[in-house]
Amino acid sequence: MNSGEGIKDTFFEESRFLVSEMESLALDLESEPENKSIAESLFRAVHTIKGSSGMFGFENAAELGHLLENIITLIREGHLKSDNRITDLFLECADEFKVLFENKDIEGQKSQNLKEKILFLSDLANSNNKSGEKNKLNEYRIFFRPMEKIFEIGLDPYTNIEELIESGECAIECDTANVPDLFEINPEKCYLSFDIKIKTKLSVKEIKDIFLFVEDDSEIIIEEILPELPEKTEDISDKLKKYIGKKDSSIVISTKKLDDMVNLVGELVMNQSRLYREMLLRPNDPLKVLAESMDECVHELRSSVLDLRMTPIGTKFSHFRRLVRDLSASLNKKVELYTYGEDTELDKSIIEKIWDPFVHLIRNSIDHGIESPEDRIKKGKSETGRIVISARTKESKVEISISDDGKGLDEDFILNEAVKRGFAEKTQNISKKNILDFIFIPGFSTAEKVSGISGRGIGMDAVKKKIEEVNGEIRVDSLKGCGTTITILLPLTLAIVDVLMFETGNMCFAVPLSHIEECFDFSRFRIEGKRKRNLLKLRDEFIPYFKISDIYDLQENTDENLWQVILVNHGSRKAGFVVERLLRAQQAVIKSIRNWYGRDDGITGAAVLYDGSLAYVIDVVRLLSIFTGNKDIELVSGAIVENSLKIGQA
Amino acid sequence: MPDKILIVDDSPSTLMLMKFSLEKKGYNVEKAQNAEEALEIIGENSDIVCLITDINMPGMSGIELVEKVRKNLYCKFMPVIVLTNPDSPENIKKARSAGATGWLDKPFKPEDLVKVIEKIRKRPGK
Repeated sequence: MNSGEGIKDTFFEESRFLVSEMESLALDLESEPENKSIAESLFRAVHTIKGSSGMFGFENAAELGHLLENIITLIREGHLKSDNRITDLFLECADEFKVLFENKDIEGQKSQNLKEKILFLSDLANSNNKSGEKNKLNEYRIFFRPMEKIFEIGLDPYTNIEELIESGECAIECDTANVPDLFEINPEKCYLSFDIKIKTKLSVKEIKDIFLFVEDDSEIIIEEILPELPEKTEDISDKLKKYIGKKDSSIVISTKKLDDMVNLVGELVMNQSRLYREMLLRPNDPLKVLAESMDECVHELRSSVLDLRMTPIGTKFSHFRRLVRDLSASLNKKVELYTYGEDTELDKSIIEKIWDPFVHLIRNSIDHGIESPEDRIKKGKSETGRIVISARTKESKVEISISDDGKGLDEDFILNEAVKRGFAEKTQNISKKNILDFIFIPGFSTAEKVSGISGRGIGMDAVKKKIEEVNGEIRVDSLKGCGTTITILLPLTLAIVDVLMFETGNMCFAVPLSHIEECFDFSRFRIEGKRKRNLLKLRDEFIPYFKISDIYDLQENTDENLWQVILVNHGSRKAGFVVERLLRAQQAVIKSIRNWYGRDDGITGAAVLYDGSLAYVIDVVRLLSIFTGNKDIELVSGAIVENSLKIGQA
Repeated sequence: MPDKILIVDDSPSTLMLMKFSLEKKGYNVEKAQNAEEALEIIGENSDIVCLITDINMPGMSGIELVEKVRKNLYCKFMPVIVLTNPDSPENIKKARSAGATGWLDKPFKPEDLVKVIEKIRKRPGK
């Protein structure tokens, strides 16, 4: 027993040294709290005290040491900041150790002081262990590919997996891709690999322990899945994913790329119709079948490419909602917006172009249309005004209407204004429709006073102009006291249009089919006007006509009796274009030429024909306004011939 | 029916110690003083779930025993733990290539032995 006592003496001596070491290290740590190496040394000192105390049966000292270890670990990992409070704690604990070793008190009762200390330490450790590491569920992803010969060393990968299953919540996927065909299977080999997701309290080291003896030759990758974003954000991103998932996934393409493609497809359509026509002349050509199926493909392609440009108009409607809200608030009016037909699709470039006119129309409705809440109540209307925007597809056009239940347009007032400004004579018997149309005359404003929002002279004429730029039509309808409805008809697309080709004076022209009402013989419906007014009589209706050849100064070379009339309309205006010969209806890609020459000659652009030549596309709206409306624009005769030569050369 | 474990060591005291600590944990223990005897016991007892053997033994070495076990159709896949000396790490390699499942450095604490066995023994019925 003497030697035993000797060892104990050594232990006591060592411990005393370690405790004083611990004291000085704790003081060092106070002056340099960030110094990790001091914390390390402190940990080692406490660890040794704890270890040897345990060996020699000083359970109390071992317990105290263990708790101190926890505290130092927290400091080392940065969860706990060492300050003078901590230093005091270490020094007090050092005193406790001294007492314990001095008394050589092996398993004696804990003194009150020690009990308090132990309680305090464990509380401190728990409260600072924010991550609650011992109880926290870590998520790992484990890839485990046992070596093929794993069975041959007496191991069974199943035991490892089973142990994982016991230690937490597992999702295991077994990859059987490497399992050979039945006849080639060696049942003594392991062909499988496992992809395991596990939620467990285990640390990486503990997981590695599970794969003891296996890890040397097998492939084991353990990676910790870091905690994901807070749940709230997850919710939102989930919702977003769902939302996006609901909609077709989409990409954003620059308009230019899209336009290029539309142009190319346009060319393709032209070439296809050329090919098709050629093939019609060769009934026995084996390629004819091919040409026919090509024709189908090309038309499918065309419609899907055009569809790319189509955007639901609802995207714009949502902007209107905001606009209505802001405007009505600033004008002290109560307005509710109702929208219908958000899914109606329209060419994106058209939507862009009608945006401003729409804003203008909505402003008008709120500013001039909808009355103030008091007035509305007086009139027996509900306090809150309504604006209804609805869109729908109508034949090959889109009809958008903006209605309000405001005071409506005052016909008498408009007529008076029109007379005052010299647009009309008082004695004239003017239909209601025509009176309302006065609001589209430039400079005609019905606003009694100019407000900050509307009534500054940029009136309905600007709106009308913009709408007509995209080949649209605008109509107004109103009932005094009940409200106003403005209806806009827009073409679906600008890119490719159906046109009717005709020939006059050896020149080829095209008229958009959307403007054509009908075609008939010139000679049968013609009336010789006595007052030099060219009129056609069609079903008791008199319609003005004019010769395309006159407009562009061309020379007809066929007999007058063979001529044809194309009856075109735009809104309420109608007119007959007299042409020499009708050719056919076809689809055309219209290329603007107006920009090149900066001229206003009633030509929208040029269309490429099946034989590669050009046809001029007539701007029906423009010609109608020139010949049936105000004649303020002089046409430059002969300019077109000049142009055609240039284009032909190009 | 408790799992049966075969322990092989030329030192009777080591055998005693191992048998004592394993039986305390509820295992059924067979012991052999050399490799030849071990093979006989393996032949007679088909229900042995794990073999623990020393490497340095007179006569057949532990490594040869492992090789023999791996060639025996009936106990080919039995887990085998070799008791190694930390001074000769090359023995671990040799044992591993012979087909040893795991190893334990001598001297070891009885708990460590139990822990290793828990880790690798076949779980009957699973």
